[in-house]
Amino acid sequence: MIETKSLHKDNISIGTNSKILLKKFTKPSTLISLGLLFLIIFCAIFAPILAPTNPYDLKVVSILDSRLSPGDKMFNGTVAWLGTDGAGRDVLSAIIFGLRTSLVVAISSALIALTVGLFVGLIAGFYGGKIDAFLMRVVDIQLSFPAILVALVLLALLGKGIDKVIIALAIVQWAIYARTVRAAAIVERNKEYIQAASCLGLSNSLIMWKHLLPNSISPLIVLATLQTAHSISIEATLSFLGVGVPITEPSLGSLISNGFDFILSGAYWITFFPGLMLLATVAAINIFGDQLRVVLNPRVNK
Amino acid sequence: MIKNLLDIDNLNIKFFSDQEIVDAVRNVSITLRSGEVLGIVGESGAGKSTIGNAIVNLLDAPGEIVKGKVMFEGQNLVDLDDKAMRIIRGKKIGMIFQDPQTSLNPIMTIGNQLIETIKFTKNVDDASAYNQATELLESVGIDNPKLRMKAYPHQFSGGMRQRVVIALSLAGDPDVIIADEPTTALDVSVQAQILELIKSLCKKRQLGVIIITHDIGVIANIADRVTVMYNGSIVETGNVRQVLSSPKHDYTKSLIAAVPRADVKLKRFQSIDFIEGNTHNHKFINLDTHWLGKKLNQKNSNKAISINELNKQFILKKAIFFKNRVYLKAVDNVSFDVKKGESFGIVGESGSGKSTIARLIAGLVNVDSGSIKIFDQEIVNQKNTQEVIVAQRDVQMIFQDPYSSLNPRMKVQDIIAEPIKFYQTASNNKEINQIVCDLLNHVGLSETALLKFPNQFSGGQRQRISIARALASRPKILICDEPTSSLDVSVQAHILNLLKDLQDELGLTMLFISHDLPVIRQMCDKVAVMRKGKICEINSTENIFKNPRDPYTKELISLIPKIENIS
Repeated sequence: MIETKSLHKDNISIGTNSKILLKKFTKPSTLISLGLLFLIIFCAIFAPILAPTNPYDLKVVSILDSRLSPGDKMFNGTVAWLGTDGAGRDVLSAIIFGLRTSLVVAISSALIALTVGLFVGLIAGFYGGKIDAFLMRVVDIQLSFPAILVALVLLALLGKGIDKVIIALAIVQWAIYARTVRAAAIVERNKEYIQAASCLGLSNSLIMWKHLLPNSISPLIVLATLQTAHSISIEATLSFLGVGVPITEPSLGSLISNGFDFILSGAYWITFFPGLMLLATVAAINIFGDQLRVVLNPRVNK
Repeated sequence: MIKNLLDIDNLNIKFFSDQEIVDAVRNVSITLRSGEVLGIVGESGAGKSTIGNAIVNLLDAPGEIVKGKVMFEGQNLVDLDDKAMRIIRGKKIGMIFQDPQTSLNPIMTIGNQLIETIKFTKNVDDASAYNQATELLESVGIDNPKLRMKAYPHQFSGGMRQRVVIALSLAGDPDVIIADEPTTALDVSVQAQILELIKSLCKKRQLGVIIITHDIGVIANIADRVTVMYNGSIVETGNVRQVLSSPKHDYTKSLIAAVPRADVKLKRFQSIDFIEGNTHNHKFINLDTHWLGKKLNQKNSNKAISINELNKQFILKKAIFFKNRVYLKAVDNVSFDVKKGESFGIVGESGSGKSTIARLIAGLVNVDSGSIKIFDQEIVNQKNTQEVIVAQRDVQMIFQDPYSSLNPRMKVQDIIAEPIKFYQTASNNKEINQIVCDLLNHVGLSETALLKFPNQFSGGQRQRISIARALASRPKILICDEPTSSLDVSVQAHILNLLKDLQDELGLTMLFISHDLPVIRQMCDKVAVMRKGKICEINSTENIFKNPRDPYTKELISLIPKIENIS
């Protein structure tokens, strides 16, 4: 039995080795989602170069191009592969720029929520007792409200703007991170290396920072990926409802809502393609996150 | 009538993994006769459990039998399919596992588990299955079997559960029982009873019993014949008396020599060179000039630790009203003194509060009432003054589990350097590196260890790293909480020798906590015997072992499995 234990231990060490870790992403679905993810991020970063037109340059956008169907030529000669919207903007270009906004909002809100959640979770897990009970009740209260409702209320209070959306999404999500970190931290806290550290007389903050944090962070990597996908869809919902990002910097959600008025008049593409993109992005991140969980957890690893 | 029950012929098992193929078992041939207890003894990784699992086709996934036969009643068990094997496992070969806690279903009553097994193996109706179940429980020594049938596993103690597991394995009237470390998770007093039970059942029912263990003491007590395994191969087989009194193979000799003796105190354990291989013996450090010798504060007090009326209780059942709360007195009015430079042992069974005392002294758990003085400095309920911090730092602890006592994400050099850096006891990085190297050498590891992570080391090596880390804060008192109970005997001998040497050289005071009486005998000058949070007896080690006064101490000492009885 001891043999198998040591084998298991070795597995963990392999799991942390990034080279071998990459080799484990061999499933076709994972590779496709990973490829798609890279493509999406690439597009978002180089949007001004990649997009055929700049949909927000009022000099270029012409009302004469409005509601062209996919493949039609626009007034200035460029082909609108995915059609144009009611204001005559190229849908493809709008999607590429919208992707940028969506990703910026999702990733930065995920990072802020992660940092806050990490701190709260570590403190709750490390100190335990009353501090833990208090912090976790706050988390419980936060999580007992639907995320979208909380975000709506917050945005109604804060007003419009990308920064406001990021703050609202971070407030909605930190509790999930806090709860996950706390669970991991409690497991690690009871291990003897933490006791050894406090026996050496190290300060609490040092123990938390150098010993507890590196060992309780791994479940967060997976959670952060999945939560990013989640916050993309919350942001899209908010924008669709009209309380999200401002009209000048539309995200995928506002593009969908933008085309919604035309869907009954047959101009399906204004809503459909941004919707497809949203679906692809969220699905790609989710599949990747799921696979990441499998790879990082040696128990499921077969 | 004695007949051969099980014939293992030239068995070879390999474990296949991405990186390498491991020969877990090589050319092993074993014969088991009826009415005998065959012991398989060896250290971790010797392949003894693998053989046990292979007999009943329960090998874990990457393991495969590549060659050999397991003949049982004219059938080769290796060739049988799962369905046929399941019938053999239930009716013909019983298994007893190490941990009775996990081998019983926690949500079924003992009775139902037994009845289910009996019905499966014997095709009888409910009433007679019930009767047989009660008979079985009675035969494994459980009082009031009818009442106990309705109990759930958690209502039983560890020893009782193991009795139930034995009853379960007997349910199908098997011919062979394989017991894999059946008493490792149990206290000594319970261990003796369980071994006695297995032995008597074996003789009464003419069973063949294979007992797999790392403990030579167990083998000496129960087995008729013994097979010694090392690194996948059999090194020696024979009559227990003969093998233990005049071992032929070097490995067997060293294995027996490494077992701590309870009868005489030796200066050092005999070391076993060909096992922990390339760890060179620890290097001497000149304490007059070296960093390790420079003490921040020299104290003249003769009392290293002084404990007075110490109490600690844990809440077992929470309740809003105080009177409804249920407490467990883990440490109950304990007082003792440890002299400077002394090795003080605390011995007791699990749950006796010995580890709690260690944690109280180390400041890891808060004290309820009483006083703890480290070199005359009170540390209970004090403000964080310089004196208290220094006193706390003088006490360092070595933990039981070497696998969880080192931070897996830190390199060895960072682990050892941490206390030096935190207290800024060395002036620059170069000096710190030099000190870390010296400490590593001092505990018998080479500089190549510096950049590795803990998971690249064996249990014994990790324990050495833990010791080096404890030394890095220049302690005067070392608390060892079962430092070797998760290590093999040969490695245990190395670690205990190291601790002895360090104590002699550095003049450390040692508080040594163990459930293992022979180890205590070898390590300590003075011993306290604990039971249920109270100290039964404190005396010099010689007196405790030669003239125990307290009845509990007498009982404990009489129960030590002895190899010497045989020879």
